[in-house]
Amino acid sequence: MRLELGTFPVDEVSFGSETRWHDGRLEIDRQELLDLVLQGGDIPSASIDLVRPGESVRIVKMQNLYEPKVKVAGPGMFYPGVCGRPATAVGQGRTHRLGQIAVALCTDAGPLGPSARQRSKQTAQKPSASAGVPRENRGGFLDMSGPGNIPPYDELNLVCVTLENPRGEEEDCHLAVQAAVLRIVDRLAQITSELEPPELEVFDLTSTDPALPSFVFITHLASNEWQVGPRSQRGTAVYGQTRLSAPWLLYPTEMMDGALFMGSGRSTCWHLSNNPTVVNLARRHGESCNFLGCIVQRTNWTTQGEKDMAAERAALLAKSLGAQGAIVTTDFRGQRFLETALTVRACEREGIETVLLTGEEDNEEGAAPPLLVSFPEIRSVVSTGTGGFEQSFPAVEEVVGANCPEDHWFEEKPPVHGRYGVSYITDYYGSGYHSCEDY
Amino acid sequence: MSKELARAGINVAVVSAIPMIPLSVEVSRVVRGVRVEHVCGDPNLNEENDRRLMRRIVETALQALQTEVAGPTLFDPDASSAEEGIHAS
Repeated sequence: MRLELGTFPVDEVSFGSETRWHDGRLEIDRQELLDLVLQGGDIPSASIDLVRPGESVRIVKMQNLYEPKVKVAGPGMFYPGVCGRPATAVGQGRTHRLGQIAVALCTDAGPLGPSARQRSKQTAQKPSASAGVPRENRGGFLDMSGPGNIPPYDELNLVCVTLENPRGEEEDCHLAVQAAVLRIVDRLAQITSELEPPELEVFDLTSTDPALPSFVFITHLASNEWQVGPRSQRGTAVYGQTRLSAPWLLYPTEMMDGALFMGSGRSTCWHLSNNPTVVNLARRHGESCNFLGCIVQRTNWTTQGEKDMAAERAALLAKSLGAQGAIVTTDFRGQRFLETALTVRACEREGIETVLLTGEEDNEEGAAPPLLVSFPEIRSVVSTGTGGFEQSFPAVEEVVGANCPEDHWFEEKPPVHGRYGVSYITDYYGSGYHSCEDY
Repeated sequence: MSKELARAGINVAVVSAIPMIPLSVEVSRVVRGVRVEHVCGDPNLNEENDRRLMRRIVETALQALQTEVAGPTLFDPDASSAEEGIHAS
């Protein structure tokens, strides 16, 4: 497959009378985006704010992060298969993206005004008595300045969309929220459709060089099927499918074109389509290696035998592709980590040199092992840390993402110790730490 | 927790659908359960067989408690009785 990826860098973003990009300047018509979000009447109220790296702003109640990308040539649609979008295979042709900008989704009780940016404790409005059911909040908070503003958020302007939780069945609410935010993501990306991108990168994976070593990337993504059933859209999706399945084989360019959606653990949509392992291996394809493909291994099989079987399937798939090496990541701890370790073991047993890229458990000052399970076959591990963040998060001037943020959100937050039970702030994909934590 | 109990001199048997995890953290006695969603039984079986399966798992656990072990050891309810299969349905 061959994908051209055109980037329109965003050096400056502001609200204006029209939604457009020109020469590094992105202008956003807030009312247009608000109308798009509220279209159809599923979302009772919404706010849209712009937040830039370096600002004394804390984003709370963040659920996910999306990348504005659009297919301008070749089959399919970015983020295929979700919310009724076609599941046509992506990864070919040309995709345009707005660079240095992402759409952050927060949800809270309403009603919300046009802005959810609260300057101080005193100006915060009280939520209405008819507030919707609070949804699960992932991520806790994200600081746009200070020591907690770490990659990729130190380079990402954020269009922060705060939605009032819709009422109704959980599945319906989930779909309504995702559809609403995708209308914004699509609209932002669409303004680049007719323009020539200032930056164009070509990922051509159509041929391999037998003289170069061949690698696969195996990413473990948990499925919630055992909790929410096979048809639910809740959880990480491959072309819209969230169910527990045999390993999927995706071209690297499909990953960049949004074939994976939602994210779990500390991952987001943005991280799934900007996976640094995928992008960097794809850049090396034909130069220093052959990047044969991405194996998406679903986890949360619920017996030992199923886990063993799934690991062997992934390893045999990698072997049949001709892989000599594999990079393996995971997205959750506990039994999901066991499944990841089993895949590494199965690959090594098939003669595939395998590197595990993972977060560590807190070693409890030497009293506990850093990995939940470790087989003799696991010989090469790259650690992305314990998820701990040893500095405190300074007080902030503004809070975004909540209708009525509690006073504590403005205050200094203590360092986070990466122990079991406290949400990981590590991202397992190697792009750096997330500056967020669940409280 | 089971290791702390063991440290206090109380024998512990952990029933787990994924025995590899307790075994890897060196729990002494691990009993193979059915599935993460239903560790000690199987709703796919009829009531009578489900009850027998549950009983067999619990009896295996009791047997494990009375067995001296040198290190992490797996006790398999299937091996202790072959009256009916766990996944007989």
